[in-house]
Amino acid sequence: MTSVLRLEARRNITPLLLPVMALLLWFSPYGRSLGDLALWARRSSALQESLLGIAPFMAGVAAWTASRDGRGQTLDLLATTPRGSWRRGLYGWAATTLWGLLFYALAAALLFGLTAREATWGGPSWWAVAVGAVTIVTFSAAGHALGVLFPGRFVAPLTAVGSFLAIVVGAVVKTQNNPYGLVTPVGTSIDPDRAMFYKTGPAEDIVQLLFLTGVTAVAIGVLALPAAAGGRWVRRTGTALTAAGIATAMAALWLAGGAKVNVNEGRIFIPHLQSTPADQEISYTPVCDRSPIPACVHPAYRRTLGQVAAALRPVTVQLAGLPGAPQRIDLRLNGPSTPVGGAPPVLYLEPPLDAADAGEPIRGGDAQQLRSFLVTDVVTAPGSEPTAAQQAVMLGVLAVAGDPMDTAVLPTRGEPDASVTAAARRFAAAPAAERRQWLGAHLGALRAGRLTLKDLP
Amino acid sequence: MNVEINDLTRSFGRKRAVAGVDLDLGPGVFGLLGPNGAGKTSLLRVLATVLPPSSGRLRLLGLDPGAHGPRREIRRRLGYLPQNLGYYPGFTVCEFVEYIALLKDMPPRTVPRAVAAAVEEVGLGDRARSKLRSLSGGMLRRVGIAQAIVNEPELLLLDEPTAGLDPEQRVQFRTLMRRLGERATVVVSTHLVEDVGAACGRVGLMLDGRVVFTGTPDELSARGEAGGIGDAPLERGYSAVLAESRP
Repeated sequence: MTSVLRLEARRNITPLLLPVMALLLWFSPYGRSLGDLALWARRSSALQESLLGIAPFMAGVAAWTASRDGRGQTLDLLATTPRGSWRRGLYGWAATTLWGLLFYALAAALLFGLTAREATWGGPSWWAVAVGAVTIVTFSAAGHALGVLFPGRFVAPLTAVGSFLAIVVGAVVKTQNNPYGLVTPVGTSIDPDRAMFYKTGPAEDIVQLLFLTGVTAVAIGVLALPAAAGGRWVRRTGTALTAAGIATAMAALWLAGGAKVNVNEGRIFIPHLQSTPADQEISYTPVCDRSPIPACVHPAYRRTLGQVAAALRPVTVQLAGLPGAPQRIDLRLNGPSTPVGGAPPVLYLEPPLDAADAGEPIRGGDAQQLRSFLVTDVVTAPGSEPTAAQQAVMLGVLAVAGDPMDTAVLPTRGEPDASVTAAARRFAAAPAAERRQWLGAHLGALRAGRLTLKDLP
Repeated sequence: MNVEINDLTRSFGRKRAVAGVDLDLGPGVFGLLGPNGAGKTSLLRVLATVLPPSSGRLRLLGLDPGAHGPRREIRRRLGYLPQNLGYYPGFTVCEFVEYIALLKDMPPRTVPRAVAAAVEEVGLGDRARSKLRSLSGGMLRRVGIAQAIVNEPELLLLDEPTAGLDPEQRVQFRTLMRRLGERATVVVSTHLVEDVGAACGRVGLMLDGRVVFTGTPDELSARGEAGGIGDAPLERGYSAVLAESRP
């Protein structure tokens, strides 16, 4: 058996197509993720998303290999060998699949090797790797089945295109929050950034693995059903595989059907696999810089800490040590709504993850937004509309930090009065010591909304 | 007897390609002659267990090919060269013959030597590592013969084996057939009566699905003495039998 497999593997078409597969990989999320900040969750997700190109390609290759006996008119000759068509076909399929898996393993090793050198927290998602590997097997099996059933020169391209459409339709269904879309191995519903802060669990992966395994079993099993496929033992195996495959795929669909999906928030809840919809928060020790008000980030974002701290420093130097000012700024996803609280008081800010993920410096609009969030949370009480005095102080502090006097950054419903910008300019023009002394004396009253524009220096 | 056929028929829809054939064959080379559409290839495919018979009794190598287990055993001991040999263009000569040998359940450790011997036997030793796509039609035919004999079959079925071979190769091949026929049953379907005369101990002539003559080549030649058409005695015998058998 291994001798035939070795022969099939040596003469398989897949190795010749590896450069094409490498190109597909490079132009998939896999290639793009290499330029992003090295986050394990994001890289694992990118590996899985790369299946959008690789899996249909593998299906086409498997269809081509499986249809060779029909194309090459070897059916008569091979029919006179003791091994039935089902067993003979399995060798070719196994060889194709092994090459596909080898390619996938190398791609995963390269991606994870590079990530291991750069990432500062966490580890790879082996569930994503497993789903990817099983997806290769499944698409290869489906392609093999189609190649055997419809041998012809067009079966390979048609299978590849059909597989691509199937996987795209599945991903689209998933984006519409349809729970049945969860069985699709691409278009992951779990936000990779969210996975840094919350344990998401392998529920979606389990559903996908079940579904893919079921489809694989059906694809291989149905080929063993015809009498020509082999003897009684082969047909029994085929019947068992087909029945088990249908049952497994149906079980996966049943599990998925009960899920509550919110792709936009990156949340899924599969009641039959998860005991509670609330994701468990991951405990971690944040890394902080040495600014007057230290900025702290999740250790996975350690490489962005310098940029975050640099963006906040023009404001933190003005606010540090003031009564009511935070003693630490913690950037975390979906942080608590109370801006400054606890003992010592901590300010939770939503990190500009998109910029950080893309590996771009946090500057310009992102930096300005971070500073405005900080000033707003220090100067105003949570949930209240800022008063004119609060708006003027916010604009003044930001102007001193070097930001333009842009009222669009204020959390107000309407356009502020001209008197607000005038007061802001006056506040910004005041000597630094005077501003600091005023803020030290009045920050509490300002925050409580008891001051007017006339009270500003 | 390696081949026992009683009243065997094989139909495709309404057409009876093989219509009540009786034949018993032991070791030796048996030539199967007949015009196009006579049913030679269909009979060979039935003997090769590619097609099941529609009716009648068939035993090969003392076993019933209708049952799965015996059929597998027959296939292990069978060699078959189909009329149109399909092949994998990317395989080398050795790889293709090795592939068939392995599918015939030959013990893997015996395969390399058997493959080398079979390839050498058909005169392709110097092209053993050539890809099949690079070979001429005659060479491919020899590859087909090599894969058919690689397992030293007890029943060897050859459908037009000399088609595409040059005269020198055909002479070599006849020698090979005679040698194989010393211990195995070799059934050769051919249009070329000179092949039959040179290599076959017995000959059968098919027409419209029936075997209308069996005997030695000399007996067939004798049937043409009364006035057959052709340059050689065998050709005259062949045409005479056909003329007598046609309604």
